[in-house]
Amino acid sequence: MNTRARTFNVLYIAPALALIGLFVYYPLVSNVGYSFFRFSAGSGDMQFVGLENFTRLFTDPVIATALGNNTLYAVVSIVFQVIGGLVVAAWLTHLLGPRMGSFLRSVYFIPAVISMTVIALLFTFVFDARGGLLNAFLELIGLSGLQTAWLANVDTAMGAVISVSQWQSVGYVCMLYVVALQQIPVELYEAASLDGAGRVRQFWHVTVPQAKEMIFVAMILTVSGAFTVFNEPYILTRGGPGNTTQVLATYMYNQGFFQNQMGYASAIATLIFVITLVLSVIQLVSFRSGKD
Amino acid sequence: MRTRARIAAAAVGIAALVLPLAACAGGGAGASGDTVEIDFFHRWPNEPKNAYFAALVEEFEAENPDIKVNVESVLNDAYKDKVKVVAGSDNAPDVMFSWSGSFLNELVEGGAVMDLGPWLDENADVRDSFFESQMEPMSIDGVQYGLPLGMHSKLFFYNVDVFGELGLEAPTTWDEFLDVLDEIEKAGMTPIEYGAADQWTIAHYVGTLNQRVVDPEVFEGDQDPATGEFTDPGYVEALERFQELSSYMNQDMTAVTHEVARNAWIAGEAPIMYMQSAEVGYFGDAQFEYATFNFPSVDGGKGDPGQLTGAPEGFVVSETTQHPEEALRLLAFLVNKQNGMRYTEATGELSAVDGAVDEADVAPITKELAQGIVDATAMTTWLDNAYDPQIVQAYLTETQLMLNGQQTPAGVMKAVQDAAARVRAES
Repeated sequence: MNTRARTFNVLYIAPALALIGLFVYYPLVSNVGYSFFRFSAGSGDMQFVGLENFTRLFTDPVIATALGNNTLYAVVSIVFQVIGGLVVAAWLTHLLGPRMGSFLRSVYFIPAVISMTVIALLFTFVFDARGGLLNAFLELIGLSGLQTAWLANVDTAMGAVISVSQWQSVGYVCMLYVVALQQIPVELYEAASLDGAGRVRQFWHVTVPQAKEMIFVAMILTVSGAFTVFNEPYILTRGGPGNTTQVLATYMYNQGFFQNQMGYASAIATLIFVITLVLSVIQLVSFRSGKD
Repeated sequence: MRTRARIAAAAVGIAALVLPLAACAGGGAGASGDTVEIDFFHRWPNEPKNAYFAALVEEFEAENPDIKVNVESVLNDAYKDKVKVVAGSDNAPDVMFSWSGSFLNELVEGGAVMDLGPWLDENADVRDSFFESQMEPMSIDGVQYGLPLGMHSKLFFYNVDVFGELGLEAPTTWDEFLDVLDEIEKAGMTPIEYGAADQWTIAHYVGTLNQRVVDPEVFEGDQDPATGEFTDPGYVEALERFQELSSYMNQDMTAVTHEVARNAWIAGEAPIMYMQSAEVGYFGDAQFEYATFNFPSVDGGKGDPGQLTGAPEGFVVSETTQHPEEALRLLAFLVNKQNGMRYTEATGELSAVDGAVDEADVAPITKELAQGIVDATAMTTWLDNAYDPQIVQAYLTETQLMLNGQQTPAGVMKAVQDAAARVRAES
């Protein structure tokens, strides 16, 4: 490539770089800077406190709770979305007829286009302690012993919140897989079946390796999504009861805007960033994406 | 797609922050001709107050053709977040709503609020029109920063019909209170309806109990962030009393919001509920007669049982306003006596203007409630307005767990003490 062309290339990407720099990298860097200060949202007074906000991260029991909840979120999301989504996608593409398949595909995808706020409000009615749909249903099928205040019971609140996310997201991830599975040449399946491979073996030896790139994308999406989740717990429980459903993002918001600890909130934001970055890099390396 | 939902949420959030800024910018520079634009920011996008203030502003504009008022409003929690961000900026609204206590304190510390003292010195009639006890909470260190709009108190509302059937009387001491609760329980009813899913309701119970139990000097002293320690054993005792009371409440209290609980009380499901005077306006459907009693005294408690929990809320003027004269004119208009009467009539809330409730065309109970506030020996400010937000947060989340049976009173206070230590170190 000659110098002239290179100069032009740089010119072409300059606007995009400037925008990304201004709206992504600049806030990222200044956030790290903020985490060394103590200040409130209301006043410009900033006091340098060194690493105090970060040492607090390690002694704050709520951070431990939140990290635990985020991890649980990630694990459940991998099981339901990354793995479950692939199984459903394979079922839709290979086992069902084209008509039924595309119909169900749309059905599963519907939750993904509804606003999370609406969904969360909807589920507050489902989980409501007095006359909520779930409790009414349990009563109907004779399992009234299982009735509980789903979002206020310390043992069930986090599970209830996570289940809402799964309900919403499986269809979306599934759709990504369907696109990938449709690219797989039919010959591979024919060859496998000639070799005597059943449906399950075909799934493991043809579908999974062929969909590897998309599995990687789904992993990155769900795992980083699990560590940055905010809407579901915020709307459903606000982190309660106590701090039992606090995740890193809701706790960050609570510290910054409710408790006026903008510096500490910045430190939590930095922690979230580091976690998602590290996890993404690990996945990038372990999947060796794009190398096959 | 969670990512996309988040992007959408972020976009909405940014828009929410930017739009008012744009509106405010218009207020400063876009004054056309002789008209002055001022911004008025309150926390009632819901009815009936939204319509009430819209009508008030329209009337004000008609009387003052040289002033145009831009009204903006967002609901409670969002209001808190937003005001903290805009109040300190150059685009602060000229007149804005403020709670008394720590919220006002924060605004003042941020340098966002104008000292009304000099203006009130020139307009003594404005200063004198309010109940004196309601002016004090809208000031900080003797400097008057705000004017009170409404006054609020927290009382036990009870079902007079049920009390009559069971031959019960409103209690004044803790023992009498427990007797009443026992009797109601024996009759097969849940005595107290409570919705603790909203954490602020916890602040109201605990704040009152603290005042009743803890030595007044310690209680006052702990309100100072620089010295507050919360080590007095009275705090633990207050929480134990709360635990005792909670055994007389609906089992699902932490799963129920205050509004749901209130509707259950109105439906007659339980005869007693701890509510604000301002809530009378919601009782329209109640099929029974109701009355109130103040929080009973606590045996061995060191605080004055004549105190009433509650605090006024009102309006402040921005320190950075470009049009102080017009902003003050709007402020005086919003809380003048005639509008105080209208406020009480339209919303059922109690105007802080001396005589306004008395002369308003409202039910006798509303006048009694106002008189109760005037007669109280002193007001105890809401717990969530009395302390630093970090202490409040620790207090409320841990007490919520206690109500769920997963925390002890001593454990709650340990968390509060830790938060207080952090606050002391910072101030």
